[in-house]
Amino acid sequence: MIGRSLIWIDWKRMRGALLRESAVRFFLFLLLGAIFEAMLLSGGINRYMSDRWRVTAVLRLSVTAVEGEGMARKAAGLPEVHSAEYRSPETSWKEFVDAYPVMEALRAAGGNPLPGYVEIRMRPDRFTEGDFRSVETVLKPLPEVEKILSGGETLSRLLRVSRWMNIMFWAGYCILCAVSFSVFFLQEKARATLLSGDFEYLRERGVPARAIPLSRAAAAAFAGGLLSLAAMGATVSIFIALSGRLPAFSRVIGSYAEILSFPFLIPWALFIPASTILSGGASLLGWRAAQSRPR
Amino acid sequence: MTVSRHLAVIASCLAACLLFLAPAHAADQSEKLRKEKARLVEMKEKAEKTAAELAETLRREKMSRSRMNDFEARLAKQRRLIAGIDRRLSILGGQMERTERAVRALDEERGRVQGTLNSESREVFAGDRMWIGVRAEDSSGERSRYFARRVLSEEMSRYGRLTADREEKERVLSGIERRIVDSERRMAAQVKVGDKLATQQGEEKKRLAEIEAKKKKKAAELRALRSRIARMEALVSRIERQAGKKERGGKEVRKGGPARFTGVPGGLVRPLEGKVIGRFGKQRDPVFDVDVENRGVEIEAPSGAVIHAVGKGEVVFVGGVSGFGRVLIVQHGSGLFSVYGKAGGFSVKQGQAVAAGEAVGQLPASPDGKSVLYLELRAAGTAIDPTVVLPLSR
Repeated sequence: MIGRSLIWIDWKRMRGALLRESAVRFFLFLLLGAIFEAMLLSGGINRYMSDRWRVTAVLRLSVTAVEGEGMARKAAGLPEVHSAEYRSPETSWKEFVDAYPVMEALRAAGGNPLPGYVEIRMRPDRFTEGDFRSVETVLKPLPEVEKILSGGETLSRLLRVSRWMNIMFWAGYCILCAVSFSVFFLQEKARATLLSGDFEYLRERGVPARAIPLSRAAAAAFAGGLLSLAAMGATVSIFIALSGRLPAFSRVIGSYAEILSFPFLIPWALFIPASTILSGGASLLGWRAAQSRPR
Repeated sequence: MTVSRHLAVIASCLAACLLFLAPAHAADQSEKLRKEKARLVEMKEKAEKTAAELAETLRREKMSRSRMNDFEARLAKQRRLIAGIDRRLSILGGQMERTERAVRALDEERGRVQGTLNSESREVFAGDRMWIGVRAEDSSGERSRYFARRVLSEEMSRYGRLTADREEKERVLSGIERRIVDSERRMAAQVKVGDKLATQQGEEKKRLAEIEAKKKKKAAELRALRSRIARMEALVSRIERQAGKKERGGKEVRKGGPARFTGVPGGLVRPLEGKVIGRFGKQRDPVFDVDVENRGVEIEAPSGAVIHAVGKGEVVFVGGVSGFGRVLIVQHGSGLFSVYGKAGGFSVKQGQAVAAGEAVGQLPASPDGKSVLYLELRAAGTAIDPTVVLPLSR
């Protein structure tokens, strides 16, 4: 009975402060969860980059629309490829004129001088130089293909930038995690300090010294688990809502289908225990810090 | 026919007059007739001269006409040539116009392409100059730049083709210009030749008109001459009749002589050895291009050949007759006469009797060594073909 009442001692003694702290923790969990999910879905900057930097297989002028579609299907079947779309010569010309309006006059000199092409989007998780070369190796020998455009010399620089950006993102996320942990720790320390008189009273009346911090840590871990679960739920809801409304969100973060796919549910499942451990750890550390403080 | 009838009427009148006139007046009348005959001979000579002049005029007319035809043919050829050159010039002009248009179009196209190339190159390669390291463009930018480069390279090659085309067209144009200049020069030369021909033709036309006028004048003179000859012929006939009358009046030996040449005593001989070149009867005159009635034949023989009497008879006339030169008339019987004309001279006198084959004269000298004897045989006032009664070679 003593043990169970000890778990809820903070709630009994400082209900208002605990509610405020829980709200802060929820938002922190929400932030951490959202970033974690976004990072997992997008692969850092990879999804954005794979959307902007695609492989273009420029087809020959003699290639028909049917052949172009066939080419696109063939390319889409490659494991490195997220999607592949055939663009007709007319579309090529339209895009070209949009890019260089002054060249519209050229059409008057004859027919459409541009061929069609197949635009290949790499998977965010396969956005590497090796994967690019692999796709090129498959497409280049095809007789319908005139030229493969994959960034050329710029590609390796882009990939380097992408790698560094990802490292920075993850580093930033780690810092955010550390900051959150610090916040939790400070909250725990402050509460433990405030409740130190109560804990002293209990110890004087025979409550084991180790039972109090463990009970409190268990309570904090449980609350943290619940909060992170709620935060993750909110994150998923927000993501689903945004991916349906903002196309840019899908391009940068991911689509609705991907959010709920199995590969991305596992990290989610890991995030909740991690949050639980983090909360419990913060409670223990906060207790210890409060105890070692000179009276 | 009308002339013959008139001649018959005149002859009848003359015969009637002679019948009424006394034989005592015969000698005077004969003298008058001789004078008249001499006058007529003179007239005939004049007429012959006129005929010769007319022949010359006709020859010149023929020449002039042939020259005119030649001029016309040359002028027609000239006109065809000029028309051909003109056609060629117009074709060349059309070609030149087309080529100039093509050159202008090529120039415009070339200028447009060059302008587009410049502006496009600036735009396409602007990204290259703006960024160092990572380019701020995505894959669509890369694609657009690839397409732009591709289009620009095509445009560059088109520009090169246009330049080559333009140079080719200019070369063609300069060739056409050269050909036009050449054609114009040739045309000017041909026009000059044509003008000259036209001038010559005009002159020839004028000359022809003059010849025509002269010809008309000469034809009128010829008509007059013919009428005079006819009159002369009538007078000769009259002489014949007069001679016949004289015979009858004088009761000479020839009364009751042969009435046909086949009956001439001693037979008939050839007047000389030669070839008949002028036949008896109606013939086409090659000089005047008219039908001429020949009353005798012309025998060609060496100059100076001796003329023999064709039969026994009496010389009734020796003298000159217009158109026949020296003439000898021999009477062989009742109404039978042989006439020898165009002779150089005669060795017999009027009233002298001649035997068949007796030398009576000789042919005149001629530069080409050949002369012609005119032989006419008359029976009962009518000329007969000598080749029928004489063995003349044709």
